[in-house]
Amino acid sequence: MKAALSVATYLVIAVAPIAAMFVPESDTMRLYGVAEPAPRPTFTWAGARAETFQRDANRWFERDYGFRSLFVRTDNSISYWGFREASSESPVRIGGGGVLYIDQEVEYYNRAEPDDAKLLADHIVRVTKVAEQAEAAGKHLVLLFMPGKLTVRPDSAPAEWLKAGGDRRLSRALYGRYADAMRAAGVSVVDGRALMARHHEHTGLPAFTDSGRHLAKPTGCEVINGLVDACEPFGCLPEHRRSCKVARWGSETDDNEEFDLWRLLNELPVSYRPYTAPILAPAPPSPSPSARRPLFVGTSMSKQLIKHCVARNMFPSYDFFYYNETHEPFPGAPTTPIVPFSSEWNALVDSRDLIVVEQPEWGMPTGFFMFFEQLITHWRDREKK
Amino acid sequence: MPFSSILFISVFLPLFLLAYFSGGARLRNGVALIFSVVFYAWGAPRFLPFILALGVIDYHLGKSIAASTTRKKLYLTLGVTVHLSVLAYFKYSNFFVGETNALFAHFAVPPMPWKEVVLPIGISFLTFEEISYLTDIYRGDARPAKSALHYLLFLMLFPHSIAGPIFRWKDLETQLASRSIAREDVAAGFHRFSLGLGKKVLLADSAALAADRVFGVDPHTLPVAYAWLGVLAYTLQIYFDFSGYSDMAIGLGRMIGFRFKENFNHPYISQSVTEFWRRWHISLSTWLRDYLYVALGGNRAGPTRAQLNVLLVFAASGFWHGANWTYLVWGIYHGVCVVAERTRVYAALQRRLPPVTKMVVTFSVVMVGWVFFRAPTLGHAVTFLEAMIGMQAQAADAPLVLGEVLQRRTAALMLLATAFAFAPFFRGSAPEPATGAPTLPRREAVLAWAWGPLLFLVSIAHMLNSKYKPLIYFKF
Repeated sequence: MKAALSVATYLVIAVAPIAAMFVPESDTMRLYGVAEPAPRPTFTWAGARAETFQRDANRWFERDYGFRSLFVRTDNSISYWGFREASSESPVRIGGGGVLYIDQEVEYYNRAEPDDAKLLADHIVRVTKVAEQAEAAGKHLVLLFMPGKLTVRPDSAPAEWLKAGGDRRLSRALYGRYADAMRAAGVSVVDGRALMARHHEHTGLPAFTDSGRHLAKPTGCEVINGLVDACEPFGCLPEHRRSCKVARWGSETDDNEEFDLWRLLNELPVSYRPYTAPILAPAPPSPSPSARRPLFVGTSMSKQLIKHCVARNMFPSYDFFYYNETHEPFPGAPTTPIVPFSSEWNALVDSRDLIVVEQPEWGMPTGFFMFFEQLITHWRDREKK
Repeated sequence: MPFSSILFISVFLPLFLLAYFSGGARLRNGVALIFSVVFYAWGAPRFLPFILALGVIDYHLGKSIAASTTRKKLYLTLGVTVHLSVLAYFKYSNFFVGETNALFAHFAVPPMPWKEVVLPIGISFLTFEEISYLTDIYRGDARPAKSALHYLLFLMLFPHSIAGPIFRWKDLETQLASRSIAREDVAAGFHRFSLGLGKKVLLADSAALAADRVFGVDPHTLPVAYAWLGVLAYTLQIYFDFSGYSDMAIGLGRMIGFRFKENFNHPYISQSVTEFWRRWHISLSTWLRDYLYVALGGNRAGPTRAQLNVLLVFAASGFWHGANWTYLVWGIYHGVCVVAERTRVYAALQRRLPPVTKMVVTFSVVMVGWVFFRAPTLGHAVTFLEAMIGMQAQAADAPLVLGEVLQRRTAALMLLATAFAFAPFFRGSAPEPATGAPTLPRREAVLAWAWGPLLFLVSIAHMLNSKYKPLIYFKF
């Protein structure tokens, strides 16, 4: 009897997830930052012989496995509650006091390639050229310099993450050298680090919440004020500046973006939320938009900043190239893949008159999504025609 | 389809057990063979006809060896030559052509044109099983298979077909003909499988994170402590990886009524390298002893020849593992250690040292050997060893930080793995390799009953939340 019960237990554990695959809504706990379900492969002899069918079937099966999110969250919870760390596959790292960081920024912080100086010099030449060509075409280029959370808040990063060398490392100085060079070349720069420092000085608030990778709402607000200042000579309206005062702190903000890293931990219980974030005072009625039609290029950080612009009614429309790979028109239109030099990509870069490119610190010393290189090629090809 | 995959655990295994137990005792071998063929075909469909054809040839050769009185040796030689040629072509031709072309390049001679040969999965293990089958019949130690079904099932039985343990026909012959299965066997099989799955997924794969990180950096810049940490991690990884797989194989066999021999017996508590090889990958070391060492003359031709034979066997063992100089050096390194242990000086030293010291020394010697096994090239291995003794210049910028190499969970699991590896020594119960029915020691059995299903569940959760890390021995 004991043996039969034991066998039954094993079989239930093995087979119940299969049964759950056929029951809709059996697994309702969403997993954040996890790849979408893989398509179910169709069997062909050729595919089986080449072993592609087996690979695809395995992938599909593991992605669609019943109770997958429960299993994944359970494993993550063992790491989180047992060891106060994210699982080994997670991009999130838990620092002192529960402050969350992302791997990319730790890697950037620890990086010291000897080629950085040369890469940066080449990149500066490229950006300066783009800025000049944009002006000649009646457009305006603004660079949004976004420092990484780790470089702004290194205090909570444990020593075992960081390589020796401290501020002597070349990478650490990249941001300042890049921003200074751009200013010297007359390129419009919104210096996120300077704005954050000023904001912190006045309010005592951190630029990033403990649980987020993206800027906290008040700092995001300050960056957009910086954008208004930077493009005011080129048609942006000063009325779109606004106060970035904090009204209160809460664990439910309007879009929960301050909790993005916490969500990526994907642990149990799902509703547990140990963090709070500053919430801005309600905005005054928005003035009419300026005539500028911006094209934003950047990471999810830019997406959050666009939301600030939308809330202020700054522009009549917004187009966003996410990593220069997908196109997301705001507000609310569906995201579509975008291919550089395609007719759609060409039309957008030609027709938009304010080009706002995010320069995340962890992507330095280059622009990392090849946008400037492609823009130069595009304009050169157009001239030839 | 590795055992540590969701597809195997949730689809293949339940379907197989359902078919196996619903078909009645007479159909069980047929069901097992069909599922074993599907299992192999899933991983290497293009080689399936080839492997089956080799099996059929063996079956007939075995009969011919048994039936003939004058041509026994000829048939055996033919069979062994065929199998060794197949192994040489699939496993070593890329290596030898690559080395020859490297030599040609040195003398500015154009390289030989060559299309890379793909290694059929499990070929190294199958070759040894086939050779032992023919040799045992030749020696009169075993009877030829009465049916092709039995022989093909012996070769293809999915619990062992792709990564061992290496079976011998004479050990399974009677079980293939008739076996009884109690519910307790199925339950014990699941417990053993769960234990193996946990060892592979939780312990070995965690240690692999640290090992891969350390072996992934330039060893010229590696600090001493990280080099040792990396080797320790790999030492734990390879043991729990392969012994976990063997546990799963033994457990699967037990579920369907087979009693497979143990393949590991707490090797890291060994007090000499010779003892280590009695406890590590037992099915391989006993195979090499019975079919290579004995064939070379063993110790029948005097001590010097015996020492040479030991060296040759270990060199062959190294090269069997992989077509790379690193494996060959690893094998020779172990051979030299075993030969050294046969000297009077060592015997005198052995008598004076306390057991714990002997164990620590042996463990360190084995760890050093793993550097050759893990490093991609001989140069990398040598530089790594230099880093272990601080002979490499330390870079101003450390290439690694502790947080990258060792997360807290990884560290805890590595500690647990170390405890598992050494506990039998401190318990004072280090049984000799089991030769009979592989029943679990009482304490482990109690643990298995209590924790088996929980371990199974936690292992599945971890598999779904981590990148798949193939068994190290799959590539052999």
